[in-house]
Amino acid sequence: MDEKQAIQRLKQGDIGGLEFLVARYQVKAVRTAYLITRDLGLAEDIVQDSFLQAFRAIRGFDSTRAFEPWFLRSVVNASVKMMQRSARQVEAGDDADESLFAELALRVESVEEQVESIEFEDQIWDAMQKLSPRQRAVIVQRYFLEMSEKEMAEETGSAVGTVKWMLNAARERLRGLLERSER
Amino acid sequence: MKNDRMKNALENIARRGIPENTNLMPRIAAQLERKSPMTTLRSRPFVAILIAIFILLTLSGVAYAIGRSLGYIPGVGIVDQSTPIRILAEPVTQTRDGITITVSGVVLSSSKTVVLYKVENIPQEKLSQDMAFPGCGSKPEEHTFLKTVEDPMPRDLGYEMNGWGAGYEVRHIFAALPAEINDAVLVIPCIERSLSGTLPENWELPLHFIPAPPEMSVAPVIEVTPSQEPVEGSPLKLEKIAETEKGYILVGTFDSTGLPQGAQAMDFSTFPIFTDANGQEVIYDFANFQLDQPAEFPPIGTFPWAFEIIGKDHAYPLTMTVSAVAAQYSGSSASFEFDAGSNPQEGQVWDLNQDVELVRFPVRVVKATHTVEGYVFNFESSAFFHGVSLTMGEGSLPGGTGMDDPNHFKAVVRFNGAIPSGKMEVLITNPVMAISGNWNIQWQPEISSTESVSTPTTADQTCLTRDSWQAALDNYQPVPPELNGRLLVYGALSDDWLNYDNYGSFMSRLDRSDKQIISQGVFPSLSPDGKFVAFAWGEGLNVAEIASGAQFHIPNTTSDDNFPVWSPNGAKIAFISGTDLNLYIINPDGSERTRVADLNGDEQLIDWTNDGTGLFYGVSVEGGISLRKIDLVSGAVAELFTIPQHRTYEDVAISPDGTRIAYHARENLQDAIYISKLDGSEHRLFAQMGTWIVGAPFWSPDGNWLIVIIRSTDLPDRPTEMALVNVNDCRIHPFPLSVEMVRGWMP
Repeated sequence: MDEKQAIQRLKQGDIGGLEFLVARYQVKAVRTAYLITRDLGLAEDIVQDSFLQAFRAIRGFDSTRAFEPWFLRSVVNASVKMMQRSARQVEAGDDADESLFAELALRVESVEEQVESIEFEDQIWDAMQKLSPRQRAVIVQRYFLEMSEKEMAEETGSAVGTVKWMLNAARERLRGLLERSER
Repeated sequence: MKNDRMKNALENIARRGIPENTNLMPRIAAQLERKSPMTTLRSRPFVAILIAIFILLTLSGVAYAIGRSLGYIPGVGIVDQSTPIRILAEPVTQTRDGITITVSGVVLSSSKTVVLYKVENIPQEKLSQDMAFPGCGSKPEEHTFLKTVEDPMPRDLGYEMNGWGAGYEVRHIFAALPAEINDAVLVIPCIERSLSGTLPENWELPLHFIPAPPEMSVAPVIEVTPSQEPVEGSPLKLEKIAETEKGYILVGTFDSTGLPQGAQAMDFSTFPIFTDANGQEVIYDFANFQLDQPAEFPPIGTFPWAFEIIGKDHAYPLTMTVSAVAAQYSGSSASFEFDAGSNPQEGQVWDLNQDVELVRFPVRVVKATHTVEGYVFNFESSAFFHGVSLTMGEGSLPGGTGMDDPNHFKAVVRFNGAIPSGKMEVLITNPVMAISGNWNIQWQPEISSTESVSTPTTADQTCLTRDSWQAALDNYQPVPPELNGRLLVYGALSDDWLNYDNYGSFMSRLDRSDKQIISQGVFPSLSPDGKFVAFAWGEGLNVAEIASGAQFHIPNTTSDDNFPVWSPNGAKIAFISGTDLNLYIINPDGSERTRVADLNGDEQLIDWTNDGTGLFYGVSVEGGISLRKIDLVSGAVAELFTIPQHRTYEDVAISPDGTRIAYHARENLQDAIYISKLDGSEHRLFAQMGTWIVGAPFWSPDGNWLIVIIRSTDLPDRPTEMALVNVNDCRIHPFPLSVEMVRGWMP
């Protein structure tokens, strides 16, 4: 069975179609939700509910479109909404310093040892904690899901300007947080 | 390279947190299984055949719901109004250990009792994550029930549940309560999926019922008149119609008229398709759960159906097409011999490859498998079987059945006691097969809206539609000179609109003349004197002087700050800080940065009030954006109304005279622009173009026109199109700009 067939079966209410889609996308979906919510249990709940929603909404899904971006968009939205419902997670931060993000990346590029890569990942993870849910979501969409700004705009129904600002703000904030953690 | 480094870091972080062998399918399957029989019927029509048979055998003595006085209540469904309806006197809330359960409403009719409740603030760590230990809710004694002085308690007729991780809401249906019973207790033994003993259990919420007030909104349910009935001899019949807040519920039956001899219709084999007069598919939802409970079960060979058409603005008539139904042949049976041996083990598989004949079709019994509860038999046939019932002598019960694909199906035999061994005869009965056809009915609404649902009048017609847009293109009239002012916009800085790295803010007339690039900054805002543009980019908020091109960063702003909006007198700039998601105001020189209030929401700034004493903003709430106004002096907040399914910042615009609002809303999976008064009253549908996206409305300085940005979804990679639409007489002027948003207009 391929994805098209799975979707066709799902449109007919056949849970076998859903099984195929769950098997194909659940890991990526849970990882996406996890990067935004930072909580494994919550991420699994969100993805479970997203699959159930997809099951209910599949009749309205245009089969000529790719399923993955349509589905992952709902996972991202659900993750952001979940975080927005929770207590404020964002910490007030100091103004970012002036150093360039590219400079930071170059410095990291030059590091060879495994332990320094892991430290960078830990810094990224810590810094991501301090972004707002929407900022985290656009970072995940842009860098983890590798969506273009156009795809992000299309999937969210937003203007490109909205996407560009969100991404720019998130990158700037992340850069500043990474810089502070370097000191 | 830096993108790869970032991607790798995120991937490694995610991989550390989430293993490859994550498997959610058991939980998902369990959620689907836990729905009521009626909901299961709609989600897996062919697999639920035996469940339907079970219902047939257990329900009794209830009259079929035709000819009674029926009404539709939003959120509840169709109810019988022949006897007075009762409701919950007031909501009931209980909180224990931080968890809150609220019964928000109950509606009691002569045929059912509908209870609506919500559970919130559930700590995730106390919920089961492992389907091997599913947590509360899987056993009968853990099911929610309604307790009254009567014995036995009202029968549980099923429920629908929607969850969001830290909570869930339920619509639970019970049998009707006698008219003299006005008190009951909703008993919730435990929180859904909670691990045993970890969360408060045995919740009891006392409910008191009173007669429904006369003004309670109940929409009529229309019995289909003879003129709307389909061609005689068709098994597909439309019987009732109810107008809802979302669209229309169509209710009918499918019987066995014209099916092969011996076939008794059970359910749809594939879901019906609804199309409009243009052949476009129309979205619908399942509405079985909204039905008034059948008083008596329909005769064998007939099944009821109910669907809710989403949206009301369709090209009528609509056509419902059924291409296949599942039908049972109760007169057909077969048997075969199965030898499990003297000591069958769980998991053991036998290759059988025995041939039988069912409904005159050859069927091969491929294999048998020993399970924890009995045996599963796999079948293969060139004919399309949905399933069969299997028994194996005394003590056996037919279990589930279902198909893997149109040529393969399986069936289960269960045993109450020990699972037998040795040679056994397996009896196959009640085969259910798919019967193809092309049955259809056509329908269009014949009544106008009830008072609970507003319909645009002739004077308030939808101005911008696909048809009116095409007509405007076919009869192109350029923008009149008096309207060809200078716009501040955000979009592609060159003609290469696919190069998203080259987007920014610029000035241009509607006819694309007089273009002046301001910056790569986003969300520009034009000062009231037309001389400056504030925008967000880089280190924070910035101001550009249009005449000279000079730009400066507004001190005391950071890269977290965004969406600047000039005050009506140009003395202040309001903006949103991404740090705490609150509203701020600041002087253009960076002094007096002031938080407007600690509003505790994800605020979206819309505009200043005309007198500069307040700000309009939106807050995300469940189901949409709550539009509010805050007084900057007193801090008082006034709630105006909620925009359903709103998108983002750029889709709300207050008219220049401050009396109306144009906003985007997404309802019934379609984008639309509405105009209303600031309190949401007198709202009218202004623009809707089917599946195309319409948004980012912007008022002309005189308040008589709206700019609407159109995104066609017919083909990928099409630039936006722009329409100037008169709000009074619906004149439309397409104009040649293509941008993402309009942020200012100098006459």
